[in-house]
Amino acid sequence: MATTPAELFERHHVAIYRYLLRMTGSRETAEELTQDVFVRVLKGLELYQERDRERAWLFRIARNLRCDLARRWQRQPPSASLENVEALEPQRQELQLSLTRALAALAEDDREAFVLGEIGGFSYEEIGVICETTPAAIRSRIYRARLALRRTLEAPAVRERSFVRGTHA
Amino acid sequence: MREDFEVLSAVLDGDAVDIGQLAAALDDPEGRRVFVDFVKVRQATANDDIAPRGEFYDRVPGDLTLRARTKGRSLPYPLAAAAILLAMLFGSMLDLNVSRQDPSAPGPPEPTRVLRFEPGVDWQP
Repeated sequence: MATTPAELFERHHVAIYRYLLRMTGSRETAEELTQDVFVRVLKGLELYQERDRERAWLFRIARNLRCDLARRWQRQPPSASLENVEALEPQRQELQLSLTRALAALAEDDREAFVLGEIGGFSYEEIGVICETTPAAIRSRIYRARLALRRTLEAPAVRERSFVRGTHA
Repeated sequence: MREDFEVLSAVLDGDAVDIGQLAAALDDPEGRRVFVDFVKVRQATANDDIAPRGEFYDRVPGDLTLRARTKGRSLPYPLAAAAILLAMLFGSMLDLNVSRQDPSAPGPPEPTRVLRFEPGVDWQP
């Protein structure tokens, strides 16, 4: 039985939203693009049959929409946005803000590879397909991203909270 | 920063790595620090649980939300409650009718013979 757009939305919209939020730095833009992804799915689902690759397919649509928007707007690299974390408690706000700022400071290619790996849960090969490059390039991009994030997140307060939250996860 | 620490990032992602390179990286104290920091970065990212705001779901087309799809097919709550109440009332009336004795109805027939069984004789307990 074919997967319905509603089922795809239910399963993947949060991950797609997080990817778009991390890539655009704007909650409004991420929400608009997330909606656009699934509206496209709604209009053209018959083109898609491979259930096991639905996640990669959706992320590819999200990436194409994001790139189209970036080309239209010629946007600056995203900046850390307070509004994205204002509803969280103070400790988590600090961690999320540090992460948001650190991610925003990465080169776009490195950030995208890292976000697709960590948030999307994709392999190097899958990210390579989504980003139209080789798995080896993705491996290097993620490594560079981790090194940069390591330096940014190693402030004592953030390090301690990351550890504490990790033990409760 | 040594280039071969990339193997630590790759092993964290479950990628196939050269065991010799991995061992060399982990032999280096800096490599071990880097690996622990990579795990911390992963934990920090895993705790990223930001989701769309409530207004987002109001804007999403109804065809995309499971709730919206079933909404049109379900009964309104007052109607559903009334249907349940009626069903319960009807059920209890049936039950009353079945269990109630009708005084004008004929009683059971008289027995024509009586069988008696002795424990230890007709059956063993």
